[in-house]
Amino acid sequence: MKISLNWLKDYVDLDGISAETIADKLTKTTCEIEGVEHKTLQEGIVAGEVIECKKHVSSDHLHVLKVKLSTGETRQIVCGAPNAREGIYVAVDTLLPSKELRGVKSDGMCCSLAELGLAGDDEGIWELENLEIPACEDWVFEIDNKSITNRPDLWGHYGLARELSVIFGRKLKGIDTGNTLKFDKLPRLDIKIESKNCLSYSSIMIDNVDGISSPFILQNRLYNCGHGSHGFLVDITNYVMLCFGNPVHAFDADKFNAVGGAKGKRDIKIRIGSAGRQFITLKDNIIEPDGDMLFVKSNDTPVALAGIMGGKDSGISKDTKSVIFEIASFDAINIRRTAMKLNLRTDASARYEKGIDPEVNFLAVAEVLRLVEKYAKRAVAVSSYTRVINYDKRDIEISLTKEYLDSFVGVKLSEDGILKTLCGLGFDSSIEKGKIGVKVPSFRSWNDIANKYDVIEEIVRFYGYENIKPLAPKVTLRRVERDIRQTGLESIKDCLVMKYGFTEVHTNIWYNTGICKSLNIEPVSYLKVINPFNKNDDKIRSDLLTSLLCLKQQGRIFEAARVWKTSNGKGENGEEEVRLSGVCESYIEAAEILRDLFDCKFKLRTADKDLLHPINNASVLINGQNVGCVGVIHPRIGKDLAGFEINLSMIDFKRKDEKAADISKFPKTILDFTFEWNGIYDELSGIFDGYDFYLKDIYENKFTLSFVLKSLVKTFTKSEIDAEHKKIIERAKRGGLSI
Amino acid sequence: MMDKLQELKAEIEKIKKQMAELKSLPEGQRQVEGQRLNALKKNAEAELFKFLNKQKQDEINSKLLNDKLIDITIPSYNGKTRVEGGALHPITKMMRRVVQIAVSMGFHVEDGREIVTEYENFDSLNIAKEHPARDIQDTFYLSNGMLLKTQTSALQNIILKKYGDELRKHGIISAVFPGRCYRNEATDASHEFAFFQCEGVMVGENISISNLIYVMEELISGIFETQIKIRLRPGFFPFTEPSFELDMSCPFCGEAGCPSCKHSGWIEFSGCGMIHKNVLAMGGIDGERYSGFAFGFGLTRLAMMKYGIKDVRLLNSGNIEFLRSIR
Ligand SMILES: [Zn+2]
Repeated sequence: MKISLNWLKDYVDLDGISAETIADKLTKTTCEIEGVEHKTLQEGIVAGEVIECKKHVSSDHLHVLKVKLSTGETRQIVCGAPNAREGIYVAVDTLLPSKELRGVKSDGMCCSLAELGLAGDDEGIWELENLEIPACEDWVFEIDNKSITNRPDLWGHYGLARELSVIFGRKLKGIDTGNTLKFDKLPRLDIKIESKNCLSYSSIMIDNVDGISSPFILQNRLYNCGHGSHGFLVDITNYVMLCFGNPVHAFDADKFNAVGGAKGKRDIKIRIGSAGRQFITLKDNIIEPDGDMLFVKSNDTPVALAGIMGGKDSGISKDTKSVIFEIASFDAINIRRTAMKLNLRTDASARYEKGIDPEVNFLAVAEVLRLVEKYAKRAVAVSSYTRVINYDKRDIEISLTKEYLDSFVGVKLSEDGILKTLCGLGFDSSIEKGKIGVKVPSFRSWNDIANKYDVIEEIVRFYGYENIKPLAPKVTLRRVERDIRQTGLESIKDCLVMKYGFTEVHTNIWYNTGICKSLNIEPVSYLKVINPFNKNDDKIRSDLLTSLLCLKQQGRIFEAARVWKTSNGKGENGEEEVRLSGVCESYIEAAEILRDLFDCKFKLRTADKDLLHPINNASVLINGQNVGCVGVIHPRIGKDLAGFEINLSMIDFKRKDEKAADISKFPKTILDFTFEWNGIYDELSGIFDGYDFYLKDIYENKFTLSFVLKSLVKTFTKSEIDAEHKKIIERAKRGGLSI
Repeated sequence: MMDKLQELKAEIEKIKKQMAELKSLPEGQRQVEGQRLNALKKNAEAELFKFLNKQKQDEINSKLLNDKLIDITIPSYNGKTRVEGGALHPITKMMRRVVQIAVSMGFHVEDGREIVTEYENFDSLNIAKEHPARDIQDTFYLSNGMLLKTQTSALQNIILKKYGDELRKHGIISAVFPGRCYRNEATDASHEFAFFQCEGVMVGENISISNLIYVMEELISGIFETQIKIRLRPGFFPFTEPSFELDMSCPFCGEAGCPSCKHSGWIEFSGCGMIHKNVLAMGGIDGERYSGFAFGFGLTRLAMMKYGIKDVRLLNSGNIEFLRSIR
């Protein structure tokens, strides 16, 4: 949202304070200012009076003007604007080089507001009120809307002016709403609220509002705040919304009547409730009402989607002679729901969904009436200002102790400062015997201040967060132990990276269906994303290796991440498992790495995984439990690749007994044997159970094993060694080995 | 000229000769002179031994000089891919740094689930049913009625409950919980579906806003390994009250202004605030007796800042070349 400094100055005296200071203070105290823009009139623009206006001899639409500038100089200017005529005051760009237009010399240009960057829409050249260019310099603050979502009162200039009045200790000007009572003698409008979602609805009908051009100040301020100009009546509605945050809508009264099937001009029936028939908005959106959507109706016919957008059939046009202004308040949640449902977000809905205080209606209508009175001299009210309400006044009172406040903030605050802040913000407050009592004003009581912490926030943000000194918390010293599963995983990662040269990757938790298909992988998924970003990628993964293979990277990679399994086939609990998966070039090395990391065993050809080679795959066993798999990646997916996947949730990370071994002082004897063996190596440990031996060499199916004979108490004698030798050979024979 | 070897041998002979003549000396003198000569002899013999040894060494070395020079500047290679060391993921490195500092300051480290319930992600955080944060556009909802957590705050409730006993025993809860979060939004150089955050809470008796400032200043200074200043601005989150936006002084330029801080000297770092009483209550904590603060910051953003990563999508690309470049 954009906020104009000149506009703020209507409500609070900010003389002598720079725009930068204001932006900085607002950011520190109230809301985030994302930028400050300095608006000025370009150089060389001079006011002038058109003292002669002749048609251009060789053009249908061009005029040749004689303009007497305020400097006294008279210039001949060729102008194409339809509103160029004798007697008006214009803004002339005097710095343009003179040129010829269809054979006639033109010395400068009469400018439109848009050409000068002062307003949004071109309605011909700018007609000044007198021989003087009005002041155009302004500073515009860009507010981050997200920073005021919880502050409905800040969606207009007046609310920000109130904040500034407290920040700088200057008085906020009051708004006189006396003019709303002025028409009480006139007949009331027939307004009925038929839904709980309408909190208040007020209207006034005014005749003779045609033929008024929007005044410069409205156009210029609206433009600076990011709005176009759409004629006097619509500009009023936008202008007042930007004053107080309360959206204002204007209906063409005659059209309003006509669509409702009214018999006479004064037979207006305004109803607010659900609608039974189709509705077309100003912007041609066709809306099929559901029971939840709130409409403003003329009798039974919907004329506006309440709080969001008006209808095509009742909108303001250039020819509107009679207007009905709507100043209302609606239920924030209902408006939000409807706006979302229809994907129709407007300036009005953005404000209503924050929760507009119905009491603000009075401020808004007072401003509407003031503007009409000031600029539409012929206008005549034909109804009283009629307001119907459907809400209970909010009376929120909050109390807290000064002691709690000080301890919560960590600062001893002054009572004077507290009262100054709270009263300045419109809270009726007192401090007695260390107890702070606060009455929350209506404009802060809708979706805003509700408890003592809200009050503390108000006090502290004006005290200044930068004035709070850091203070170490007083806490009891206690031990903090890292979770062994986390540190265990850290060690695994370190080992893979430092010892084996793996690179850690992160992948998406849903399968990339396209890549899977191209690799001929059919992933299994127990959980789906209901609203995936890409329509086909809705399957949450149940394995990690697929994700790694889908990266199609060359080199050693691993990931430790979650997958989702199910116990009942429906994935209802979305059971998470932490997995470790890696890809490298060699099956043998993959197995070696796993042995190193987990001290595991393998069961060959038992890994039931489609990604792996039908023979060269294995289950990974720890204490007899299957914790994962390893294998050659199936050649249809990739060549010369091996992969593994371990379920870390099944790994016991408890620290093993870390005890030093007793080292013998006596020399050990090593006996080498070469056996012929056609089985797998692992089976040898069964055959030689109890012996300390290691593999020395393999040649074809001949395994050379070294057996270690050692003792803590003696050196083996010759005969003892011979006896052992015999025993080993016996074992080998029994196991079916030939020497 | 006599060579060194003969010189050393002659010296020893000379000493031996003098020793043989010792007998002729008177008793008292003989002993003193004997000791002196003995010492001289030992020295001379050691000298000779050293000389012979060196001669032997020189002989071996003169042969070794003909050996082939081994070029250790040749890098390892495997005939297939570029052989390089591995690397931890930048997020892992960043996370370890944060965790290390947090632990040193007495924070427990928790690691939460990625798929959470609506209660955990929204209700328990005081996020009303109609709050914009629940928009289906922003949240990935799952077929089992759960959702991908959109913020690490989703674990606050679990943590508060888990450490309730510690609060009663030691008067303090303090924990950080880093984790992966998901938002359903269009991706570009600075947005990804999946990103990492780190959340932290501290709850105790009389935990104040000034404590929050102190702890955050220490934590962030620790992460950036330099003294950082922080400043709070008003913010709004449903689960804290009051809520703050936390800016840190730019660690790269010391507030002088640089591209990292968009020449402002300050960097938006974190959202934080005093934990909302409703959130405390849902976590089983008496909000009248205890107070606390919570903070959350983007680990992904932090890693991008620290390592100068220009496109967030690289982090999930599995691009080895990129990942290895940060070592
Ligand atoms: Zn900087």
